[in-house]
Amino acid sequence: NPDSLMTDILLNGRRVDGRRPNEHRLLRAQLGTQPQADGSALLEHGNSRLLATVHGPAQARAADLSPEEDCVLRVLYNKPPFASMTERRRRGRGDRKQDETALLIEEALGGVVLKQLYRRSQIEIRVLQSDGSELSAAINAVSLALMDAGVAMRGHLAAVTVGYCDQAPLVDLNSYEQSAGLPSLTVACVGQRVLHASVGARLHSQQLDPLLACASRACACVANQLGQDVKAHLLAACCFQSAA
Amino acid sequence: AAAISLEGVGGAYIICLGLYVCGGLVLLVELLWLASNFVRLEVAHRGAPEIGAQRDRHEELLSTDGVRPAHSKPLRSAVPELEAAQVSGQRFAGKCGRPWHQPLPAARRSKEIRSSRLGSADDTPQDGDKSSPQDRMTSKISLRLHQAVLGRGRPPGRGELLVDAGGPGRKFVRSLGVVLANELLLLGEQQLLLGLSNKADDGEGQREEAGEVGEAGAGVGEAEPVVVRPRHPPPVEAVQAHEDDLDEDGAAGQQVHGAAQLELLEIGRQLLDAPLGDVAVAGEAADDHCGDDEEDEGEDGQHLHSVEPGRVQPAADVVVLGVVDVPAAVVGLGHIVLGVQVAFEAGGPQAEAEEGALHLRLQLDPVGRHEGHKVQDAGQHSADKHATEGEVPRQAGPKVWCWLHVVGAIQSELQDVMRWTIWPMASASLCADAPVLMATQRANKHILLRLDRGRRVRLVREVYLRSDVPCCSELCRRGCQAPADGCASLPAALTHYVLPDCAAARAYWELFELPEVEGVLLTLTSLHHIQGAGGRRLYNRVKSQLRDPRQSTALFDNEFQAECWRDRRPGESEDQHAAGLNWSAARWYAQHLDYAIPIVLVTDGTVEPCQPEDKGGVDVLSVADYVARFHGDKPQVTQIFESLRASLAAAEAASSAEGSAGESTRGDYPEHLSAESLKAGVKSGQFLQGCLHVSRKSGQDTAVVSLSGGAQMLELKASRGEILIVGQRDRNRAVHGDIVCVQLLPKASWAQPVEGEQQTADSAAAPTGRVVGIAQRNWRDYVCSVEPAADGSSKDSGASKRILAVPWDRRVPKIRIATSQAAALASQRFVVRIDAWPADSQYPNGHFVRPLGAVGHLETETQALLIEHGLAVREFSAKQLAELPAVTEDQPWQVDPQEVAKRRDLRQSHLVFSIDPVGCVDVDDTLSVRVCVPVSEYPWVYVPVSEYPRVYLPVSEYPRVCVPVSEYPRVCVPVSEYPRVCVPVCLCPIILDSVCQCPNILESRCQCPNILESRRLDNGNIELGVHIADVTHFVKANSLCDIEARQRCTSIYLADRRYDMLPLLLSGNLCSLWSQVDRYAVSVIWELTPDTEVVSVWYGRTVIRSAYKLFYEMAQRIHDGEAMETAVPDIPELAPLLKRDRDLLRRRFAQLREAVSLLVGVANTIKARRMACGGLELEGVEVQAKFADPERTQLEDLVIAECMIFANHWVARKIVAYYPSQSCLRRHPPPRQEFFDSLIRCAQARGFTIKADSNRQLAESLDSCVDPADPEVNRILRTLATQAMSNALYFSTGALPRDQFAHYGLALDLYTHFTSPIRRYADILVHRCLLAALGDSEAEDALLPNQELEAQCCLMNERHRAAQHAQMASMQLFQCLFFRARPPTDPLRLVEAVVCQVRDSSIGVFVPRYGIKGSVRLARSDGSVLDAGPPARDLRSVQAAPPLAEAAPDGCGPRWIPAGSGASVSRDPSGGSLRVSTGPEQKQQVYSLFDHLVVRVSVAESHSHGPALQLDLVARLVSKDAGAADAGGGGKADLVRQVREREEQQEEERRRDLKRRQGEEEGGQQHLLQSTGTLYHFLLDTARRDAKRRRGSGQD
Repeated sequence: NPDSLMTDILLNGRRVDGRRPNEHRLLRAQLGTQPQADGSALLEHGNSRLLATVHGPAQARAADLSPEEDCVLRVLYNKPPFASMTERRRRGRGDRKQDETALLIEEALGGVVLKQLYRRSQIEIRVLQSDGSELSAAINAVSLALMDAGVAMRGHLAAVTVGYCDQAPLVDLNSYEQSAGLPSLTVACVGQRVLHASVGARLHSQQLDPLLACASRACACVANQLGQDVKAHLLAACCFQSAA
Repeated sequence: AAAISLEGVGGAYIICLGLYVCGGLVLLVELLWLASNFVRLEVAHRGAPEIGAQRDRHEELLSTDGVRPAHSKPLRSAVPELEAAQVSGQRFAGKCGRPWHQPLPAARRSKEIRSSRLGSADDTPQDGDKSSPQDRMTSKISLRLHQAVLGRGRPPGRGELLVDAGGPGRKFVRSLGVVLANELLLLGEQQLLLGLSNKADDGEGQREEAGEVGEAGAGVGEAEPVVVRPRHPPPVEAVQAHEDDLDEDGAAGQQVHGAAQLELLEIGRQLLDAPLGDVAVAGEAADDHCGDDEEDEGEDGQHLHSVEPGRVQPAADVVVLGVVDVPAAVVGLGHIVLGVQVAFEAGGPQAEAEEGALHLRLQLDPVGRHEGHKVQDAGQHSADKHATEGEVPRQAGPKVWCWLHVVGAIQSELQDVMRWTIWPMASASLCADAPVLMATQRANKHILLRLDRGRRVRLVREVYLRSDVPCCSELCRRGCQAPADGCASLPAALTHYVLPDCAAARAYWELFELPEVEGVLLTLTSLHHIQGAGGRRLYNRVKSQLRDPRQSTALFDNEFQAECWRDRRPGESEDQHAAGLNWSAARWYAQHLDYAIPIVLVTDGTVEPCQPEDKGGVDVLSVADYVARFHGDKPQVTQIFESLRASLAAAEAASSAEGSAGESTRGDYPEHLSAESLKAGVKSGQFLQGCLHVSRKSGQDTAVVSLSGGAQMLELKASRGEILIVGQRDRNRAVHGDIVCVQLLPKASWAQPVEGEQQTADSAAAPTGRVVGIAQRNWRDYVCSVEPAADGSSKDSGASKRILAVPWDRRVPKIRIATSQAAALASQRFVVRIDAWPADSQYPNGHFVRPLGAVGHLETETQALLIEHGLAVREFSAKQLAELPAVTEDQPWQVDPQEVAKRRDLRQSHLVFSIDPVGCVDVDDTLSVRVCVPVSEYPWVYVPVSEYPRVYLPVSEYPRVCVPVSEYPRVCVPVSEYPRVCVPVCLCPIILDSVCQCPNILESRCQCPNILESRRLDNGNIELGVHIADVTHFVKANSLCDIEARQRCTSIYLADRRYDMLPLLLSGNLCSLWSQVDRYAVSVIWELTPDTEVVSVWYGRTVIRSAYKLFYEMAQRIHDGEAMETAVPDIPELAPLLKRDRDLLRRRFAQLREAVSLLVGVANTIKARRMACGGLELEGVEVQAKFADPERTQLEDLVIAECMIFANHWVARKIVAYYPSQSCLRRHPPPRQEFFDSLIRCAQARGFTIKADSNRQLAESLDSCVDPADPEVNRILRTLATQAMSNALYFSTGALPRDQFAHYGLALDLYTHFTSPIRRYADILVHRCLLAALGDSEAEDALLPNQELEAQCCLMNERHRAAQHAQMASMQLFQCLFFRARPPTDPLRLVEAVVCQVRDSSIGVFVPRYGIKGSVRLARSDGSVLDAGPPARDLRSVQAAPPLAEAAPDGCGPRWIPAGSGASVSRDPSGGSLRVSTGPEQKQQVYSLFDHLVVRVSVAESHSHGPALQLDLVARLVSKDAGAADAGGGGKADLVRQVREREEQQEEERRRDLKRRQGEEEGGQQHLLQSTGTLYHFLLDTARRDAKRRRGSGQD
């Protein structure tokens, strides 16, 4: 019954996990966790935990190159069955949901990676633990991993999923809120440029504008927050080197 | 021609400019990201003529490695041109000594990558592979930060961040480029320089290819790959030395950092102020400056060049690497500074060793104006660095200077760059004012969910902890945030706060629901427990109570309070953890409130909480102790506690018994399917879902499920989407009103449908099914009683005992309750709630809630009626009454002058009056009507000075202002100068009433509406006004009164009393538009042409003073032309004038009569107009009589109703225009044609034809169906037509498409309810909507959004229907009580009835005299048939007939003929008549529609279900007795009065009796609760006092 869920999502002016509508979950990032990869990032959106690795850029297969595009960004998105409690079925290789997510990420990245510089990249995202907003978390993780890999980008790609409930935009939906079927909007921004926006469930056109505004603000905050993590990482590396 | 490419500009701090000049005319600017080498590679690759051949070769190369990569990608290299690149890369790599690309651990991957980067596959540096991880780390990043002064003329103190791009550290450079550079720049204003040098080969051959490649123009025209070479960090000493140099040169170094910033700001400002200049061209002939540069080299390697625009010179290949430098201050001012580092290579193909770097800095403002540039030969740097590698690069004087030609086209691109560049600043500011926050403190909560089929899921939910969780108490002194909207707060004036534990809250929630238990603090932990363990219904109830501000119950989010939360310890059960959380919440709360109020933690003791040593000001009590100690004196609380406890104990005993016996279910009922499988079944079509309706008549056996989704299957269409359910087992524990899922039975086992009016002779079996599961229980409170025991034994009161309660509603099964007061409940009605219905139990289990009173008493039965219809209301609380203005006897309410100033004042200008039924207290509508007489009829306007100190002329026409009276004793204004005067009808001699009384003439032009109006209405048009009480002025949105009214939705009018929607002060005083007092109103005023075309409409808030409060009869008399002398004494407003001033009286009366006549005329015209469109005059569709007799004066009621319909319609038009998606309207859907079948058949029986194709046809044909001999015919036909229609409904305009807005019955496209805001909540909503449409911001804020409005509309529809049913039931109750007291032979019992329905074995009759509808049985279930005997002539002739007897003598009255004697009942195939053949002699008696009968009214008593009227046939009438309907007194009002009087007498007696008994029992010390009489009479007394008060107020 969506009704009972709706009232649940915002009760007493706060959400199920105690956040106010405008609060993002705890955001933590770790860069360079996988030394084997060219770039990697481990990102935590609350309890959503994702690992993104970048392999490449590498030479592209001729078959992959289309006449229009000479760069292939290949995103593999994998959500293993242990990632979430409620959705335990094994998803095979040709799973459409994962493929679609990968495709969305590819699209978003296509707008930010300077593709003309690279012939081929492969980016892998693995969801270690899922608690909602996986798409936006994946985009954030990929963005960090790409930075770690040194791939040239137009800017810091940051993404966030916002929902709409009781006249209030909710920032960063968790899995409980997502499962309630709220109208939700996933936005990936570089600065104030929206590179990707996808709407889940039906959204009234009147609600789109406030939601987009809220999302782009939230994106700026996410970029800010993650930028600090990157900076910390760099400075740590600097210190390490100077100490050496 | 210039081709410019700006690829990869976005977000750039690092831009590589590729510059290629060819033919001296073409300047290609390539702005690239750092790694332009890839571009080169790309060029090379694209230049590859063929691929296939090379692939093999590449694979060969790879295979030399031994292992083939898993996803080997063939390289497209190895074209001859590329070879060169490879060679150069190789060469370079070798020369560097360290590859710029640090090899990655996986050798193959590194090779592949490298090959793609450099275009060489076989170049695997050995040292890279050997390097240790440590080396890798150190080489990964080399960031150098040193202070340097980069130029003269530049403010000193700028930092330079040198980032080495070599090795994998390169990626950090890019990271920096993406995210960090700007921040670093912001921090220290460092300049980011990328130490990249360039290696360029000269390749004439490739230049041609470049032409091919450059399809995007973009392109890079370079022929040869640019190799980005790392600049390795100089040793620390070197850098130090360099810094020293710089510092010596620099003017002030770091110290002037702040000043520099200021200066930068200043520069930025100047730049901003500068006018837009020409396209800036920065270019210099390389040849000219070659020498300079070399000279400059000798200095600090920095040089500032002047720019000479337009000088473009062809030159050798130049490659520019760029670094964009964005000083924060400048960026902040909207400027961009591009720092371009230029590296170039000049010379022949062999000169690969020669390299040099030149730094060119170019500052640009947003419009592309350059500010200047500096050129710096970076040779020195590279020399320094390479020196460390043991390699001294040769300095070669550049032949060519780079050219920077920024042409106009680049301008917009640069602005774009600027926008991109600025965003980090913008985002920083965005972050500052954005409310998006990052949560910080977090814990995890583990929840174990039990799903169906024993599945368990462990969920982890985050818990974000914070310190600012509101405590929701008014006692809080720590500035807690107010609780969120819609959540209650705990008042300060309480003795204690009670915090129920999880289990206590769940099991005893009903206790905390009582209004007597105040200050309930519910923790989130308990709420979660209720949600998890208590079921959804309980959870919803708790939530609605939390949301209800009338209840002082607050929710405390203890789980998010940082100090209250603790993680679950290992080994701790979930319940223990919850108990611990509640404990800490209670202690924190006590401490938070500074121990100002005791906190009582109530626990039911099932979970042993880990008791902390420190109780911290918290008292712990069990539920029993708590009730005893705090509420021992409140019987409501103790009673419900006892009942709940008994019920819980019984349930526990049952479960333990079952557990011990170990036997499975007895199998009374099949188990229900799980919710999931139900859902799936409904989706797949296997099951059907609908609402279960138990038939009232056929009792317990059959039920019908009306499908919610409409009839999907063909067979179901015939049965109107209804499925029959026969028998208790198939019904499977579903209770009337539940939403159930049904499985259809095979057709063979379908059953015959219940007897109904649609029944035809050839009726097939109806679809039959069985209930497989219940989607939603809709249990409510049931009024029950206990069947008196036959033997009267087992009176062991005290011990808990299980008894069966019989619900008042016959459709509900008996309920088993456990109670210790079985004896006390024996003759009472009481409320019961169902708890559960296990499969092994025949009856559902429930518990006792509260007593209502003794069976059969008026009060009890009335309360039972209300509860059964879901209309039980509480008294208005003190808080709600406190919101109203204080009004006392000596200080009556007065209008507020400030408020009056905001409203249009109609007190003087309009004659306003109301017409209502007699005895009406809440007058919510008044009318005004007047005609504006053309001025020509009044040649002169005579203004008596004594009354009008000032005369106002329309200012627009007369610039002159008013004439002070003192100067002129009399003012005579010729008509020509006073052209427009608004004259109320019949006021010819006294025009004064309409003259404006505006105090300020100068302002009157625009502000006094009356002047404008009087100018407008000079054309003989009619002005009609409807003035409705302005309830929303008093009832503000979301105030307590508003919430209460929103819940009640409507006033309930029972036969003898009413339950108001608003407090009496409002409904009976402030909002009642009494005569002779000032009242606020919302008015709709039309200007109508004489034939009632609407010219214009005015809506708005007004202040009025009603002149007359007329009753229908009075108005009718006035209209009929009754003489003044006889009429006036009955008009209280005019009566005093009778003696004082007859002249005035005459004028006034004439005025009133004129107005009433005009009103009637206008209303009739409007009505005729509407009727012409097809409006229906139906019984009870929309024209609902107020609390009055239905026998009304036909004219006035319809006139008023017509005006109200008119107003409603126009208001609907207004609000829909303004709020097309959130207006509350009322629609009446057109009926389905098949529903008219019975109506058409009935009419045919009488020879009438009815066409129901459209509402107009229906109205016309109904009008034509008049039997002059029998007025009842038309009335019954209209009733039948009403039954065929669906109900009119409120709806939100956003919820339906526009074509469904129409009102069928009234033949209006838009309709709403606006005219009775005192009695209906819909009108309040519409008032707010109208006022918002008129620009009232307060009302606009209060508008409900579509979804909420739709929900509210559903509630209103439901409550309206319930209120109507309750009203009918109440009337029936009174009829029963009335007839019960009559002796069986009372002549009043014998009445005439008309057949209005023919069923299978009975006929439906209507008794016009009492307005009773009922059925007369002609056959009994045992097969016996009623022989009516010979028809009688008239009513009087059968008066002496004895009561129906089993064996009346043949021929002198009706008698039952037992089955088997050949008597039978058969229905005519047409359905219009019923034939009774009595016995073998085939004597047939025919009952057809509209036949007149004589019936005897008697009362069928039922202990459990209340009394019901029963009609028995006495005789048939041969001829219609025209006078019968009118004969005999006793309208409904009479009936009610008689019943009430008798009831009061009886109660008086009872009270006397009670007093006497109390006196006897004084010594007995009987507990109030234990004594039936005491409790009951106590309640009765209260009820009676209430009733008296109500009646008293009703009659004043």
